[in-house]
Amino acid sequence: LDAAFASWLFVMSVGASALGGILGMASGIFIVPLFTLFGGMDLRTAIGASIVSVIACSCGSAAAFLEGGLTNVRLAIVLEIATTLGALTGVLFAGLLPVSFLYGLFSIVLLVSARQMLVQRHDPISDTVADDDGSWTEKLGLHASYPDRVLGRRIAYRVRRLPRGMFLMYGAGMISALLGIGSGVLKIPAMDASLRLPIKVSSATSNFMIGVTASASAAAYFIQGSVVPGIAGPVALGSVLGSIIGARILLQVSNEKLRILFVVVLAILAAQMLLAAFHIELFGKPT
Amino acid sequence: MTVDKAFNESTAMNRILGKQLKYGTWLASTVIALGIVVTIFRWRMLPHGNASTFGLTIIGMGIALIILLPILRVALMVFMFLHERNYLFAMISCIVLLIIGLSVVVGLYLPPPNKNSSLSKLRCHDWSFMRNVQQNLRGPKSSLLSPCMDRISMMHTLIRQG
Repeated sequence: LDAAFASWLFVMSVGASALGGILGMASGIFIVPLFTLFGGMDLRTAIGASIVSVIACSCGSAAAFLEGGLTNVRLAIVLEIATTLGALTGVLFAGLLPVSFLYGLFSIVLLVSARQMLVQRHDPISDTVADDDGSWTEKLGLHASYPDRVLGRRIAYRVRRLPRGMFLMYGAGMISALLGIGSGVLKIPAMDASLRLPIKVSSATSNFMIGVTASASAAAYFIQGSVVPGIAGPVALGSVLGSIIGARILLQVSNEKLRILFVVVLAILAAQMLLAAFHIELFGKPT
Repeated sequence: MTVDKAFNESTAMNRILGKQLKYGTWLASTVIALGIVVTIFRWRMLPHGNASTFGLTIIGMGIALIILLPILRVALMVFMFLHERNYLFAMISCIVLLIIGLSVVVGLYLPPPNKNSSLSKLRCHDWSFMRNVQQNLRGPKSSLLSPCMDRISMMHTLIRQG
């Protein structure tokens, strides 16, 4: 580990994490493509470094959401059963899946996030859905309220379709473990589609869950030795700094052109990852 | 009334969890930063490249700390739910801990997917450095490092006294 390499890692992670923060996403989705495509890093090493930085970012930003009363802690711990189970499955499969498959999967996730940037997210709470299965959420007492600064009062909300939400969270947890991303980009639409929470609540709760999900897989990778301290250290440190910078900028940027630029960037990265997937397949490079 | 009480308890919980995560992140970041500084500026007290592994060990500890933060958070929730006498949620938190424990077991017994990485130099999972130190503390083979070890043990005694 020399100074030049460490500072390259550090600067790249600050940039990736700040960019993620501006978009309201986790850093992992930029860190892995950046290091593998432009840094020539081994995919699994990049995943190991990225998953640690994901935990750091989640923990660092969780406090603000918790103190704001936005995080539904009870709902989070219930869903964490599903996400950690997913992470466990991901860890089991990570060694079996070829690298080219992981590249392909990553490019799909990038495309999903690009689509999500493009589509204006509407508040799912306004949709009227029949309360078909109140039993579980009622029994667990998951319905809650959150303080809205704009309206200046607490807003009560109900949690719907928990079993379906759990199922989707399992998938998100697995992808998080396989690709070393927080997969907030998958958790939030999953929560929108099933649980129908207010936007702020689902963002805060998803961020809260990301830390535990990622630590379930990171612990296994760390013990296996896939987390390389000389790389993961500077990346984690840079990501924490970048997420602080990103959160500051997030308040000011809501430009339409900027959003389209990000969509283009995501699409290019997706194409690059897809090429990397087929490149390895074509030349039969061993994993 | 009961709703109000539940609300207050949950916000107190939120505050404690938030503090744990925030200060934990700062602590882990500081440890990692320290490790990076030690690695880059090769600690002079330990020559022959040992300083580099020593720095990486510190970074490894910082990373372990980061990974432990959310796990500790769930453990903390077990106790808080028990304190609230909310046994159902205490059990749910325990299940999450159990799943994470299973993942650790998988990590222990499943071989890593990439053994011969070109970056194996940066790995720090053989604690050979620590073993060296132990040998130096014990045995007669300590000619090279013994001055340093003397200095370190001197520092230890100084710290203990002061």
